[in-house]
Amino acid sequence: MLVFLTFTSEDEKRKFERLFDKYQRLLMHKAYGILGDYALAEDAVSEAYIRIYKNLQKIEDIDSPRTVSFVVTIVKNTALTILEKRKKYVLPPDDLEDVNDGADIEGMVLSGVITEEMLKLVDELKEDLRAPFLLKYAHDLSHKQIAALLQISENNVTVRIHRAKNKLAQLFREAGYING
Amino acid sequence: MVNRADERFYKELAEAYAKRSGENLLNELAELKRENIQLRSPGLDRKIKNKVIGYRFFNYSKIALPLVASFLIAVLIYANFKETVPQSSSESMFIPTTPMIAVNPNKKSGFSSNTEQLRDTLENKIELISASLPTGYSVSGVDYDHGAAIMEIENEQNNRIILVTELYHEYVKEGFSALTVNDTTAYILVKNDYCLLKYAKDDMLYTLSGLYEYGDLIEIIENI
Repeated sequence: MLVFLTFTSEDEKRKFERLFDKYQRLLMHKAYGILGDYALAEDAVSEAYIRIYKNLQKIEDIDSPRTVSFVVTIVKNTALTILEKRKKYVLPPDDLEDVNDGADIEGMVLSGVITEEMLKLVDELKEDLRAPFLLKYAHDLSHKQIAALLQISENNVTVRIHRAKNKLAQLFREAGYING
Repeated sequence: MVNRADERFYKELAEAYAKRSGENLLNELAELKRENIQLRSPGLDRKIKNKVIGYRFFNYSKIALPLVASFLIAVLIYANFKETVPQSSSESMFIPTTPMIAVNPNKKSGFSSNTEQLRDTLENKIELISASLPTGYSVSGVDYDHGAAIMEIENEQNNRIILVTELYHEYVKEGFSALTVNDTTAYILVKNDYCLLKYAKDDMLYTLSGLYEYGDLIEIIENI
């Protein structure tokens, strides 16, 4: 498969090769978990690898938790897109009506501590909100890059990130981390 | 307005989350390996390959196809030029080769006789090549032009290969790498987006071009 890809260097080629060998099994597992169909999972993984290939420069250390989080985020989203196309899953509309900039969490920032409980609240975000949130804040992708990676509009990226932040603020408030 | 403190917090939160979920995923991967759960099939490789081909074709066809087309045109012009050059001067320019086509005295015109017999020879060759293609390859089109037979060959992955078959003539080897196939030297040129392979056998010259994988080209000539 690798002979079909263009790489700028041997290092880059080896990097993709290792990435493919190391994670293909996990990615199939994740995609199959979402789609419940072997052939569709293969479609999702193959599409995810193309997207990873296009963003290879974003990956520094193949073995790092950050990298596996990145590739799994991509494959999950690809699988969800396939699911959406099969009308089993409906992504929220692109409108900006419910975007609210009022989520002020500065109080938490001052505490300076990220706890395991806080991370569990991130787990509560739906994948379609969590993916753009993580790609922006954990993987430093621009809205334009996220849009290309998730194959949604930049406007939708902005909406989803706002929604993710609002939802997090709500969850943090309910958990008593912030007042009001 | 963007609250910088909030943005910093979200970044720290997201990075911590990515790290933790990544660690969990790595554990999950180790578990999958331990249990030897196989979720890979030949189909996955094929699908990835097809998607890559589609992606690369979309991105590089604008460059590669004109190059291949230019090459084929150059081959055809050269073949045409060779036919029109008088024999005496051609002998001084090219390595002499054993004539492939015997002149049939019963024919009215030597030129048309030669052309027809060349066509017959090429048709026979194409038939033989078609019959000896490796498993998974098939001929999707054949055309005859200016003393050359141009075959379009496809494999199961829809990789397209163009094979030009013509009477042997001296050809440029500069920039090509030599390799031995069936005890005969072939010459290959591999670029990022296409490969060319030239192979001479039994007074015929075979020129193969493909957009992606030179392995396909070698596999075909091994059977010629």
